[in-house]
Amino acid sequence: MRVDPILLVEDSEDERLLARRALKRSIGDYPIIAVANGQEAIDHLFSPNPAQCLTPKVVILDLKMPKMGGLEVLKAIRSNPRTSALPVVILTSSKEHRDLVDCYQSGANSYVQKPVDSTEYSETIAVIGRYWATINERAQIQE
Amino acid sequence: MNQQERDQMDRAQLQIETLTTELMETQRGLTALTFELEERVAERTASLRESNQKLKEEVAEREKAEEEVRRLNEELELRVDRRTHELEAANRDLDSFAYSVSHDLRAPLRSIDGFSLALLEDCSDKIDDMGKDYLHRIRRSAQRMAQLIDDLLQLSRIVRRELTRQPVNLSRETREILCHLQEQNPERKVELFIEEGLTDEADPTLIRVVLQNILENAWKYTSKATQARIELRKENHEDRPMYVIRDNGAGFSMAYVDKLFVPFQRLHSDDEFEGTGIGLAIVRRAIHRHGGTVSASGKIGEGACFRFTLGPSVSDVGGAQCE
Ligand SMILES: Nc1ncnc2c1ncn2[C@@H]1O[C@H](COP(=O)(O)OP(=O)(O)OP(=O)(O)O)[C@@H](O)[C@H]1O
Ligand SMILES: [Mg+2]
Repeated sequence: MRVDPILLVEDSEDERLLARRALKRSIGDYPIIAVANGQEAIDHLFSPNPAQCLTPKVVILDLKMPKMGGLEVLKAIRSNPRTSALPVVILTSSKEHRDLVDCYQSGANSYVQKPVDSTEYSETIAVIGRYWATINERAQIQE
Repeated sequence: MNQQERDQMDRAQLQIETLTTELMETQRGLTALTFELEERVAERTASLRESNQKLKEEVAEREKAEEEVRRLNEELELRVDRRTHELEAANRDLDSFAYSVSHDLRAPLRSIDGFSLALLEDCSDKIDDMGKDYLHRIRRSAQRMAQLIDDLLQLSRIVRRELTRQPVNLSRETREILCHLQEQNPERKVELFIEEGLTDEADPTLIRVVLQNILENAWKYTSKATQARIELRKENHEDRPMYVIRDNGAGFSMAYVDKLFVPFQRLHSDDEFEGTGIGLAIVRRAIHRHGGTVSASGKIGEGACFRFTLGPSVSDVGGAQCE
């Protein structure tokens, strides 16, 4: 059975590493694709060749990134019928109320503020990963 | 003509001559007098003209001075206007600066803390106890810095927030905050006095921030007092209610009272009482946003007292609002 990967969009290389580490600790070798900005995420999600279009299990999306920010990626995902129902978790360091409202209004599934404390940070990411990596199993149990 | 007649004539002649001489003398005197008079008149006229000229000059000078004052006043007003605009712009700049800085500073902190933790967890067999202690120290510092950044950001947010006035129950807010503090430190016994029914028109969020910071301080700085006590009362200050929060804790020296409300200024060391020194700076900004005033008094070892109003008093109106 093919597993849909988690798409992690984060401009800081350090944080990609740390997030990967946290995910590995919670969901083992579950596939993760990590990209450095919004444009790269768009390239993966909307490749001209339909066979190469990525449909991740969940998109973990940073907000402030060079080239293309998270909000734009989110809007692009929601406006394409193929991806409009894709789960998107915003993971940002912004504490601005405005950002939270903008993200939810643009269709984010959840908005998580990155904790500075790395114990909390890795627990937070672990929970997100575990939740989405096992969602199908849980759906099957319910059926 | 007989002798008698001739004598008569001679006398008359003599008289005439004497008279003529007298007349001529008088005439001379008169001429001299006239001359003197004319001279005097001329003198007077000259001096009058002179004082007239002086007066004119004085008037002109005064007009010039008045003009100068008017011009200076206008210039001053202009300058004040310009300065106000500059300050407003600087304030806005500072806020967006604080925002972007806090965002940019938090990211490296996450790396510092994150990789320290990764080292502690992933390489614990290769790092000795001293190394681990160092890593814990790094983590603590990173987290403390994160706290400082958050505080700074909160301070700048207070200024940017729009103010909405609503009735607020200060007694209830105070009770809730103190209840919460009691829950966090169940071992502490603090005697409380909260005057009931203190309501005022204020921004609910900002008022909570104000009370939170003053009460947290009262709570913190009474932690070493034998019989801690915190009170909230109302006093009347001219036409305005003035709220007074008093404690009997560590207090502070009035010599440094000016430093109290300045960001990151602390009167106690971290070993005595922990803190970043931003709380009262936030309080002052929040109170100033309301047009009110806040002041503090205290005495070492005897406690502290904070007084604030939530709007301008009669005597403040038109007066400068200092920041
Ligand atoms: N109730 C009080 N009793 C004695 N000293 C006080 C009291 N409140 C404030 N201070 C003094 O004023 C200083 C500034 O207070 P402020 O609340 O701004 O900072 P803080 O309490 O040190 O830190 P934090 O930012 O965590 O609140 C404190 O460091 C303390 O020295
Ligand atoms: Mg404080």
